[in-house]
Amino acid sequence: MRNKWITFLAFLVCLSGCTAEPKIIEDLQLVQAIGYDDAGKHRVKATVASTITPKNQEQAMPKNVTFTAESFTSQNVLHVLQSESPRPLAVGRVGVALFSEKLAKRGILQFIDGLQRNADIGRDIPLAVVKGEAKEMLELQTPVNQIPAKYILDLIEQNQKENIPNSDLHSFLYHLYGKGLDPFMPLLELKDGLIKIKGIALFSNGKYVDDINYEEAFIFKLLFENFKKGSFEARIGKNKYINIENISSKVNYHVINGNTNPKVTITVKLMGLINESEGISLNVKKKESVEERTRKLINGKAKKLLRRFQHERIDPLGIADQARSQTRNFNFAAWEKRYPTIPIDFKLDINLVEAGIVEEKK
Amino acid sequence: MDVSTYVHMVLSSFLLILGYCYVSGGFRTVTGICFLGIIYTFPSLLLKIFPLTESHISNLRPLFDHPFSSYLTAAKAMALEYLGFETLLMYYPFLKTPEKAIKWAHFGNLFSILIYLLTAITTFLYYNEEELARTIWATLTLWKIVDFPFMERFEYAGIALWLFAVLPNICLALWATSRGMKQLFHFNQRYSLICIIIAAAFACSFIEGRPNIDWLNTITSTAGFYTVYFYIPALFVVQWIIYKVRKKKS
Repeated sequence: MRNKWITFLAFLVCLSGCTAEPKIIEDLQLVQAIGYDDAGKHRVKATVASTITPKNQEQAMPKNVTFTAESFTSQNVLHVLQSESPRPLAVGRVGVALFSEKLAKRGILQFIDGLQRNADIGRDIPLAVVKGEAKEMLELQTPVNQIPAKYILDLIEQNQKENIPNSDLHSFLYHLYGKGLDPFMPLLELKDGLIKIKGIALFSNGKYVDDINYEEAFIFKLLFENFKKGSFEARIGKNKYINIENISSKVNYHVINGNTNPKVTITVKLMGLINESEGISLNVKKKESVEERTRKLINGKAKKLLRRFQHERIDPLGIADQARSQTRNFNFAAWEKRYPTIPIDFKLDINLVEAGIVEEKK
Repeated sequence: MDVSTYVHMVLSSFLLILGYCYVSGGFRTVTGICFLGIIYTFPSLLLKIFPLTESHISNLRPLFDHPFSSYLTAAKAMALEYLGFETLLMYYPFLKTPEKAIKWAHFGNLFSILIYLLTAITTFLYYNEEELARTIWATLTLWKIVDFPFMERFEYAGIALWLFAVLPNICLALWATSRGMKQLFHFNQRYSLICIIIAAAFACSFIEGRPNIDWLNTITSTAGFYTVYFYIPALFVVQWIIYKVRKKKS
């Protein structure tokens, strides 16, 4: 019995030393988004967006507040920001990180490193490049009365289901460190008071080198991953357009002679649904011709995109990584030397299965 | 006193006191915490679903693209993960029906092999080689992708849960060491246990930072590897010879 009491006392003594600084959620200033802007001379301007709930009001809506500060490193800037906020800033709930176009062109490796080293920040947060200033975007009064941080997060998440490829901090790091892969992230734009996805920003070694537009992003997504949504507009004749909705798309890479004389074949199996085709009858024969035209159109765009990547020596699709997985003792150096001249073939297997809830008159 | 400077000492003494409470309760209590450790941590295996949704199958191919010697090196490096089964030699006399237990001991080993296999495959599917090489705690970082609507940073809860993975190991090792001292030197088990705990707490106070932990892991792994693959088989051979010789004499 006495022994038990002694142990109990020992616990009390030990545990009293264990009181780390408590964090009470109501007293924290939870950061919802971080935006980094170029401040010249190797300096970075960080803007954090947070919310405050006005007190003494019934049904008060959370109000967007931002803090901005400048420093040399992305992590120190958080401490400088603290000098502006009366409550402790907590980054555990950061939902999105933005980089201005200018900063991204300068290189964002340092800031990515800051994000990945910070144990409080998750790996599933989306990153994005912003045309113009990230600060401006985070201070925006959005039309749906949502704070910009949440708005951007929802915008990216929704579009990643449809027309732009999936990417978050983890996949950025995966593409950054992995051999034979180059990272990318969505490109946002502020236009007429609306935040809009402009396309995808492509990186080479942590530097923003090129971007593709929203329409090309769909082609990119077709080449990049299997997915079940998204839509595509095809011109099938003079002033005649149809819209094709993707039901299911599967991509497959086939690489032969990876080390000696490489040849890449990318096959995409696309099941689509025609949801707008005014003035075009869709009987069996016509359907085949529509498929053929769509195939040609997507083929052309995909090949153009692939040639562009080869020309710029970037590999956001990870073709080299696919080659690595299909070649024994793969030689990366030899592949990289050859990359711009490697023949990449693209095959599209399109099957238009449905045409909505109306039928052509027979 | 600032906690952060001494945090590892506070934590280690806290764990060791907890270990004392369990071990002083006897072997039954130790088996109890071992059982609970499995029950509590088992659901954490389900969390592998989150990283698997972002997996890259191509990471596994091409299969067997390394020389055979690399597999042996890897197997040696894995020794640390498998250590602990040799405590069976200490608690074997405590089993009620050892013949029946053999089957379960093998199943138990198979089970841990399967868990390691699952963990390894999940990790290889989620990270690529270069990214993994930069990651210190791969499973903990895997949890950073876990997304619950009610919990933003799951990994902190995961670390707390991990106490139940670590505690049984501490208890079992403490028990086995004190038991061994009792058998060898006829010490009172309680006093030897207290001595071991004080020694362990003292040793823990020297560990500072990642390089030290890494060093400790390597040393334990190497020592364990030679104990398991050389010392114990050698003991077996020596014992076998001694028994043979004794039989002849009599």
